[in-house]
Amino acid sequence: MKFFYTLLVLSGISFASELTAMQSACDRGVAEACHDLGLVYNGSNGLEADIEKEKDYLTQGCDLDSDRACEELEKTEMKLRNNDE
Amino acid sequence: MMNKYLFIIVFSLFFSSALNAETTRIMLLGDSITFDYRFLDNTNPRPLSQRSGYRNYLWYKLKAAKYDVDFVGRQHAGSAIRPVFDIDHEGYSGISSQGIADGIAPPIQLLAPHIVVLHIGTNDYSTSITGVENILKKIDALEKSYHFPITIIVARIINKTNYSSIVSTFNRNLQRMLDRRIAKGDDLVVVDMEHDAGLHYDSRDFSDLLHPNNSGYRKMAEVWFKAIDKVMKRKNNNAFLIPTVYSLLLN
Repeated sequence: MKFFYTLLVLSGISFASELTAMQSACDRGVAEACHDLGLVYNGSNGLEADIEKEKDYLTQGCDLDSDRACEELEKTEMKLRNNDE
Repeated sequence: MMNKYLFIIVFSLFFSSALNAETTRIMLLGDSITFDYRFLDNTNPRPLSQRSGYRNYLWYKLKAAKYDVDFVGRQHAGSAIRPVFDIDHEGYSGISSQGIADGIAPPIQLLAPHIVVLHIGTNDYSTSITGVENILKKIDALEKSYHFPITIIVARIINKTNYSSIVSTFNRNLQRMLDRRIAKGDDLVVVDMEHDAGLHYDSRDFSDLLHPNNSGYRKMAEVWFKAIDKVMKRKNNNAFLIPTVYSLLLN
């Protein structure tokens, strides 16, 4: 019975994580997904802040013509400058 | 003559209550918003026993309304939540609508739900509703194969704390597709979770960018409950009408 159950689960739905879904959408050029990933790493969404990742994803979003990603990127770059000073 | 109609009414009442005696199996189907995952779970994971999303609030409402229901699913989360509730579900963190469509046959065959409650599309990052349509097509095919009617309650999905035009367009496309299917007689109910739940798209109702907090989940449960309540009442009425009409036809 357990084997049958395991087979059903394996043949059914995969267990991708939320971040993987965002990453894959960003990789295929969805600007909003890159923007969201940037926000996920800004420390206000439960994950530990990682300003380099935040900047990378927002840059990708901005390059993909997301105005919001560009606006957020400006703020992140300002944060980085303040950290350096 | 009077006795004959009295017999029909008594027979119908008896028969309909017998039909209604079957527990209604409800499958809560979707992604992390059904399962209850939030980004904080990546760094500070809550045990499965403490995850419930909207599911516990919906259960409490159904029980308060005295409905005989059984949540069905191959996943189980929320055993430590009090008051206790039925922890079975089909929510998979990170899954897309096409992912659900690809894996929908086994749980439907295994668990034979009467009602499927579907909130899916957040992870699609697309305005295309092809994945949702594929879910509905697969369920239709299973219904035909097994002669087992399933009512599907489909949500126009919740938006995000940073408003997403992709989600809003997805929802509009979804509505058009569902309207077409309903016009053709498909047993679907649409709920507008994006607007009708009254969610505040900020920290009042969200724990992060995508995931509601308990306050948000409670509001979602309210919307689901209203839809399920309508479906249950309709099913109960039909259960009464069918034998009545049948009896009248026989005579």
